Amino acid sequence: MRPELRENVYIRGGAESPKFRVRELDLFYGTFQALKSVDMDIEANEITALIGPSGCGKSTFLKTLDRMNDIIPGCRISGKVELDGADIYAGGMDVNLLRKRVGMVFQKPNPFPASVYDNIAYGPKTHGVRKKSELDDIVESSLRRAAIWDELKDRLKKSALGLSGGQQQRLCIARALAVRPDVLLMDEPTSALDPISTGKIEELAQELKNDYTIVIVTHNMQQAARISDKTGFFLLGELIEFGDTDEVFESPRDKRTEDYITGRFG
Amino acid sequence: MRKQYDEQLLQIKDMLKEMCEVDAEAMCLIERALLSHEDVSVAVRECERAADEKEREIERLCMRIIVRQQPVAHDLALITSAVKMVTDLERITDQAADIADILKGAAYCDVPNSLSEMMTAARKMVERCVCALDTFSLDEARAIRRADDVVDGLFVAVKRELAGMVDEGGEGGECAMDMLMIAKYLERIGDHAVNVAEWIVFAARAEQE
Repeated sequence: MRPELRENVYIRGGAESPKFRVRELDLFYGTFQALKSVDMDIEANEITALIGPSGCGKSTFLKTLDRMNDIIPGCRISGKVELDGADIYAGGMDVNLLRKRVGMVFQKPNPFPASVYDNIAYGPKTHGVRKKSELDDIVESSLRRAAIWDELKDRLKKSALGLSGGQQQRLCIARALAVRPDVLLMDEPTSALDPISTGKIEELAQELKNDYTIVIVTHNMQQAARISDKTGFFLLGELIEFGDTDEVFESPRDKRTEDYITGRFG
Repeated sequence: MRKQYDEQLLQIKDMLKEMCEVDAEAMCLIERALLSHEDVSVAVRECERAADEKEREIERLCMRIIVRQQPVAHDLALITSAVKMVTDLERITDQAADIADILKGAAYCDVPNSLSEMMTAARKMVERCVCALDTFSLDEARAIRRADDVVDGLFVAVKRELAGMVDEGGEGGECAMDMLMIAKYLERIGDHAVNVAEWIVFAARAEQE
């Protein structure tokens, strides 16, 4: 049976209908097992933070949510990843449509070497938006949502590469929002930024969660504590603990989580 | 930036003020009971429960802010003072409840003037704490310290007046013992109010310096 993946279907949170439902997810790079039987429900309109030491599998896990691992040779996946109830690894899944619904922001800001406007308009154009007025609207609304419109409205035709790192990262968030996703994946989005820019991105993430589901990988535990609703702690490919951020940071159930978040790990 | 954090810090201040308002309500109740012999013990116990609940809520929020927002500088001073202050605010309703219980079972006698004055002075101190928590003003907090000298002075006067009643013996003597206990609790309430004021000074100074 062909899985159905409808565009912009918002299913509100609640244990019965998570945005992502991940079950017994194993991932191998060749013979190396990078994820071990991961189960996780990611709720809509929440920020889910993934923490853990380098190489623990948190970024790998993030990439399974929009099938970015597909392009890695020797990568094998088993188990289930459902988005709004549809298995994204089932045959017949339209990966382009999946990635339109699930946007990604990376560690290093990576704007295209083009104008601010073209960076934002590129995605909608490839998805068939041609009308100038419509593109103008998308550019403005995306930049507004990324809280950078006021800074850039007079520089839309200037190169995006001339922006500061923090502005570039918010531009990349605006670019991800331009194709109207309902999930935003962020892979260490502030680790290359100064504290002020970091603060702006954190603030932005908290505003965006009203309209989007956000999953953020971060090395910065304080960042996870500050902004997330749920926190997952990964270690050696296993999801050791996953729950409300308050509980994970105030009274972790697993000693390994406690050792990691208190800096005693290793 | 850090809108949610700022909101949480404001929430701490609001909750402290609300807790202190509960204390002030308890003080009004026992003042009424002292002057009119009305039984207010149930109502004061209700205040005590409300204050206990507020104490737990404030502690939980402080803990959450420490864990999630990593407060430093004057924000940390505010959180520290809140965690310390709730203990004093909670003791005030406890002692008011004890006074209400004593009044309920007390032998009937005329309340010494100095004790009713002391009652009013202590009630005003707690009400001043509410104002001080509203503004975190150094002047208000210092005024509370000064008011405690008045309460302490009245405590000495109460003891003197009661000593005479004890000498006379009989029901008056028994009643005097009850009144002395009440006076001692009021004196302690004054001290708790001063502690609250001192934590306000600690937090306000950190903010101003």
